[in-house]
Amino acid sequence: MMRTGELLRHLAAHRNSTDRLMARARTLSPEEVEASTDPEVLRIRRMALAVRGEVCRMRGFIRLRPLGERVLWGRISPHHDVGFEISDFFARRFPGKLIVLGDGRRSWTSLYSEGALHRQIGDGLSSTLADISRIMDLLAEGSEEEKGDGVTGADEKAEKGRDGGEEKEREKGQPSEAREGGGMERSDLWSVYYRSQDEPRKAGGRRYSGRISRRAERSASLEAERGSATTKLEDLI
Amino acid sequence: MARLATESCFDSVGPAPGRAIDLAKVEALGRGTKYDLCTSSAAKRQGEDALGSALRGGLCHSFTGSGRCVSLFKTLYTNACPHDCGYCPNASISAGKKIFSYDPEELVRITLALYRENRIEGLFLSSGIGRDENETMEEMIEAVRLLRSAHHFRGYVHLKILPGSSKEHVREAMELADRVSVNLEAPSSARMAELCPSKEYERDILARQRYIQDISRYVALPAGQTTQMVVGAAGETDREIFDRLLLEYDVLNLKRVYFSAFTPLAGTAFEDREKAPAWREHRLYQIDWLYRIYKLDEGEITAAFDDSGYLPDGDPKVAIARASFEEPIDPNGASFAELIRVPGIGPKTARRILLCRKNGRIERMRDLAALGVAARRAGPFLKVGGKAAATLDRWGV
Repeated sequence: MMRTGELLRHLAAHRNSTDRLMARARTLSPEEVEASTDPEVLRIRRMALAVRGEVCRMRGFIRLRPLGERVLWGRISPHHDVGFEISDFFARRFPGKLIVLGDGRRSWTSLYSEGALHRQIGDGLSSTLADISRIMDLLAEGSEEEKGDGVTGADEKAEKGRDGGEEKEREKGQPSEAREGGGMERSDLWSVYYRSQDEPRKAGGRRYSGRISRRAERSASLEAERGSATTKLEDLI
Repeated sequence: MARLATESCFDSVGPAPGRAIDLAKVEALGRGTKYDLCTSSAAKRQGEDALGSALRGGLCHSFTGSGRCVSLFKTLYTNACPHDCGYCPNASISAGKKIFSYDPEELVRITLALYRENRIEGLFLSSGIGRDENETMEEMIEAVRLLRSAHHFRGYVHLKILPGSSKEHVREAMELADRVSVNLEAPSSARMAELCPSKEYERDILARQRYIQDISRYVALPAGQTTQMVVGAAGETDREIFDRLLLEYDVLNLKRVYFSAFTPLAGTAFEDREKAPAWREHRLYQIDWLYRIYKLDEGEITAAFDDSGYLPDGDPKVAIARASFEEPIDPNGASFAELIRVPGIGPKTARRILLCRKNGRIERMRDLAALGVAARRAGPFLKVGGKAAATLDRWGV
């Protein structure tokens, strides 16, 4: 049974949520939501479950890549407004790492550090990652200088960078494979392991027929993990 | 936030220094566990310096081409094994088998790399016996200890207990893992003799299950003990498997029993035997579910077996319902236990029906369907609006 807080949070995140539905949802007890046959209550429950389902699927299907030592990033285009719920989850899973999720238009950045969760929304994955790379490099330079002459602080350097002062040229756009560190080796590792788990002779028809839906694939921006032999008609429609 | 991240004292394994990953090894040792079954559970471990978890339920990260969930890094530690289990690709007589083995650091590196990419929820570590079961257990435990202590890993770990390993190793494994298991493979010692003459059922396997049960009185095991049986390789009946299941749950308090339908593999002693159909595995899981989750008793479930002790390829719940329902029941007056015995009604739907009844009688099948009842299957067993919901003969279901 969904608790009221969870129901309202999920309903608010649904792309088709309205003030009227939210107002009605606030009047409902968890038992009513669970067991009513009222069409509007059923609609509220299904909408909340749809958002919860998307959160669960994104937690499973997003792939993260490292950017340096401190950042994990992933492409995501959620159908509902669940960006922070997912980035917060990974921030708690990887304390101390900046989690940056997003697509061409929006990005969600979360960090869990010293017991506190920090969040920032951005304009797009590429620009957010480029900004973070620049700041990280400036901070790193600042630390090296502190160790050297102890005069110039990292803050001052970062400020100069933001003001358009001395600034190294950075490659804008997607992070390079070199910065990610061993990208080719990592994708081979997964492909090899994944293929080792398949056993077509044990295919159980509809009994074991787990698939990642096309919408979930798009939302998680997954590279194709399905072989052409397993493409079904519904995947093409 | 960028500054906070750089100042964070937490660190994890960075890019691998030097040695490349041996992909042939990953493939061979991954393939060696293809027939080992598991479902991931969440570990409840958490901490500021922790790596991992933050979740209370299992997650599926992808599916194989045959439709099975891949949620863990499932691998053998080594495929070297002196036993000659007839169904097993790791058997010592397997033709053309190249021997591989991990070392603890290598295994940890791969696990963490896949975990950070969000491809897995954790590690499922099994193994062949290697040179000696205690030596191999020692290395497997060392790998998990490195994960937990050096890398503060709080994700899910399922560690296999090798038949014949010492009680001390079993205890160390239980202190580090979320779930442990030792594979039964067969429902009895007679059937084990057919599958693998070199393994002693009582001494090597059942004794380890009892060790785990003893030790769990003072070492908490978040996801409990499980086991696995091969189905259809030794001529056992489904009834024999069910009898073993009862002992595992009622006497040894196992969390779950898994079933793996036998598939003959080239190069093994059983390569010419007939493959067990996948539906046989599926029907055994349904019986398991009816006993473990629905709490049907042994006497009721007996109705699902045919005269020769096998389960037919049909929903056992329907067979049991046909045998036990004398007439359709009224959902307005039925108890929870009566409702969940109706095909098409499970525990969640039964709970919703009980809740909905507080607001008035349920008189329409449409309302029951809105609550989650599978109307076509449940119809013949329900009296809705004063009459049986279906006039078709029950046997047509």
